[in-house]
Amino acid sequence: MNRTPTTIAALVLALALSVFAVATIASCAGPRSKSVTLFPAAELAWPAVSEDFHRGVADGLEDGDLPQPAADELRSEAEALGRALDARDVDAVRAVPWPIMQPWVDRGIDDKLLDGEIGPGVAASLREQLAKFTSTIDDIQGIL
Amino acid sequence: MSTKDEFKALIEAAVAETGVKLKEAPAKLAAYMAERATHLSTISSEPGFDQAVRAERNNVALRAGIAAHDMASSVDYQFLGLIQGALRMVAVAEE
Repeated sequence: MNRTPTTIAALVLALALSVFAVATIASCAGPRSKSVTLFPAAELAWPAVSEDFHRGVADGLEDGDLPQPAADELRSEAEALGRALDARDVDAVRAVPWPIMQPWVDRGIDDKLLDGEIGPGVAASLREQLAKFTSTIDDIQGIL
Repeated sequence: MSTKDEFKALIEAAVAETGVKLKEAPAKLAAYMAERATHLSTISSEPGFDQAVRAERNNVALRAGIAAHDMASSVDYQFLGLIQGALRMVAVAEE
C-alpha cells in the first residue's frame, strides 16, 4: 500500500487525536473518582466536626474573644460547607476558608474538656477526627 | 487470631457482603482500626465515650476513603455500622 505524505499526515493526526482523547478521559476519571471517594466520609464526619465548631464559636462569643459579626460570618461559612459537602461541589468546598474555621473546632473540643463533658482520651479521638477531616478537605480542595 | 487479623477478616467480609469500595487495603485499614480500638479501650470509662466511638468510626471512614454508591448510600451505612459495632465491642472487651 502506497502511503502519500497526505495519508501519513492524516495517520499522525488521527494518532495524536486518539492520544489526546485518552488523556482527556484519564484526566476526567481522576477527579471524578477522587471526589466519589473523598466526599462520603467527609459528609459523614461533618455533623460531629460541626458540633465542635459551633461549640467553639459559642465559647468565643461567650468569652468576648469573637465579635458577633465575625461569629455570624463563621456560622454562615459552616452552613456553606455543609451544603457543599451535601452537593459534592468541589468549587464550593474550595471557596470555604477552612484554615480560619478549624481553630474554632479545636476550641470547641477544649471547651467540652474544660466543662468535664468529655475526658482527655475522648478529646484525643475528637482531635484525630479533626485532623483526618482537615486532611480530607485539603484533598477535596486540591482536586483539579 | 489477633485483633488486627480479626478486623481484616471483618473488613473483607463486610466488603464482600455490602459491595462497598475502599481506597485503603484491608490489611492497612485493619491495622489503623486496631490502633483506634486500643485507644478506645483505654478511655471507655471517660465521660463522652460515645462521642469517641462516633469519632473513631468517622476516622476509619475518612482513612478508608469509602467510595459512594450512586444509588444505595444505605449500603455504606451498613458497612459503617459494622465498623462502629466492631470498634465498640473490641474496646469494651479489652477494657
